[in-house]
Amino acid sequence: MAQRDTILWAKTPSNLKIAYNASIIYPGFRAGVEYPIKRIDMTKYRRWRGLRHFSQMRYLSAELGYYHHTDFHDNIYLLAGWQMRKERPRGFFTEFSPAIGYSRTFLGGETYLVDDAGNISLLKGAGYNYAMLAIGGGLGYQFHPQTSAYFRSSLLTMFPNNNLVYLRPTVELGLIWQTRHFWERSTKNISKTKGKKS
Amino acid sequence: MKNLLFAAFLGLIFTACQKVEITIGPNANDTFYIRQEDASMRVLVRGNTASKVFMLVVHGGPGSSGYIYDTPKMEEIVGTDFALAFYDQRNAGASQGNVNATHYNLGQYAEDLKEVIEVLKYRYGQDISIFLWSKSFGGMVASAFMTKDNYQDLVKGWLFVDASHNYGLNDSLTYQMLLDVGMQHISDGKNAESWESIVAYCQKNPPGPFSFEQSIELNKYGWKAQKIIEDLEPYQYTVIKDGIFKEHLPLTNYYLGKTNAAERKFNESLTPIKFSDALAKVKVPVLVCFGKLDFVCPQGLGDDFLAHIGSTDKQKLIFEKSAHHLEEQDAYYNAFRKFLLEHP
Repeated sequence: MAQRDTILWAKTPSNLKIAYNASIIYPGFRAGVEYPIKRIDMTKYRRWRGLRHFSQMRYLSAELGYYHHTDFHDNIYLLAGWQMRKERPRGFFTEFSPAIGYSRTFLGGETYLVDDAGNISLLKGAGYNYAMLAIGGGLGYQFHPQTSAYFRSSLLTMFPNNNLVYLRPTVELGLIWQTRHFWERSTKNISKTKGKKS
Repeated sequence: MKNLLFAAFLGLIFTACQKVEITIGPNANDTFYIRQEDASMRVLVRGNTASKVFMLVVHGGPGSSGYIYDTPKMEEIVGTDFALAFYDQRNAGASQGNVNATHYNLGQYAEDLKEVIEVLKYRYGQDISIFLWSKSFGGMVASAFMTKDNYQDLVKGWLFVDASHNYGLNDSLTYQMLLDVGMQHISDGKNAESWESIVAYCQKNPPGPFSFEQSIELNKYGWKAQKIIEDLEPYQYTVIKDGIFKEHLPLTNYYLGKTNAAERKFNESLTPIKFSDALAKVKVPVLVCFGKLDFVCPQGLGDDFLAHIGSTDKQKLIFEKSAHHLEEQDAYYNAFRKFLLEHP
């Protein structure tokens, strides 16, 4: 087994993304930016499968999400995450993305407050603040040099909710736009070769 | 991109705004919340609010939900002439909040119920009549409410349906029913194999007082018995499945509410509570309904309730082919409707 690494530094722009974000039938959106950290171009030789190329991209991501669940709540949340994407030469990619964040909900109906004297008032913007953990995985396809479409499924965990946690599965269908110069950064590009030709 | 984000924010602001919707008419479909002691409890109002008569559902559990009683039959038979209010108790159903474990006690549940009634009157008129409809654990909540100060003056009547008001008595009655019915089935050779484990548990554990762990086990065996007993009216319990979209059920909140660890502690705190003696002060008309085959809340609870309640206007109905799920839907709902009609 032989392994050869080449390290280059290159200017890499950030990606912008926007998606329809839903939980079954409840609509929403998710939009954000992916700030490049590292790229690993991998070449693998396998005796039976031949030569394989793929790239592993690493981004720091920041996203704003929202969904509306009728009669339950509206939820707006901010997430900071670590985006791991594996890109194949034909344009297909898979990704995994853990994130942490903050959520603010707005209750899905007018909210009344009754004080000790029995006076009733309407609370404006009633809802709750939650800490949030999110984990997601998905796949996509780069159909244009600068544009990709992706599908991702995530599980949002909000806490503390009712003395415990609240779990919310979501699915996204969106676009990633690879900008030309937006928020460019000099990233470490590593080329790795594994295995040997037989 | 900036424009897109701006448009998204505008959309958010519009949808997040909470409009006040109060329907006075034959087909209400209102949703609102009540914030009390770090919890926001959801209330659904359905049916005929123009009638000015509300049947307020106090659900079981702890940790169940009001909307599981919002069946099509309930709306058709009771909701055509009267309004129905389904509220989710704190930390249950669609209710929301952060940390409120310090308020996890029956007294607080009674206060929450009082505030639900006050807000219903605030929204739909001080002249509305409210009938409490309590089921299972909801009987404990309603008993705590009805026996406190002069709270009963806020309601016109009380429907006590497959409910409990005395935790220890509930366990003893479940134990005795499991043992009696189980032994009868074994001696008759009817489904004996299924009953053997139930009877074996009862014989291994002497009759009360029961520990909390024993109480949990008896409850589990009660549910098991209802699955194997004969002569039950066939009833498909599909209200959760049917309501996922129609009622926008927050399923994960509902199921997490049912398995909330803090709730177990609360449940344990209920074991010494009994309202039998305190019921003497309750004077409003009552309707007591029990399923003859209910092992979870046996009909003996209804007998004790009637023996202690101070009301002179009191009726008891037994549903021969029902257990704990109001299996004879038409018969139950017509009985509720008749009781409301008889108390204008």
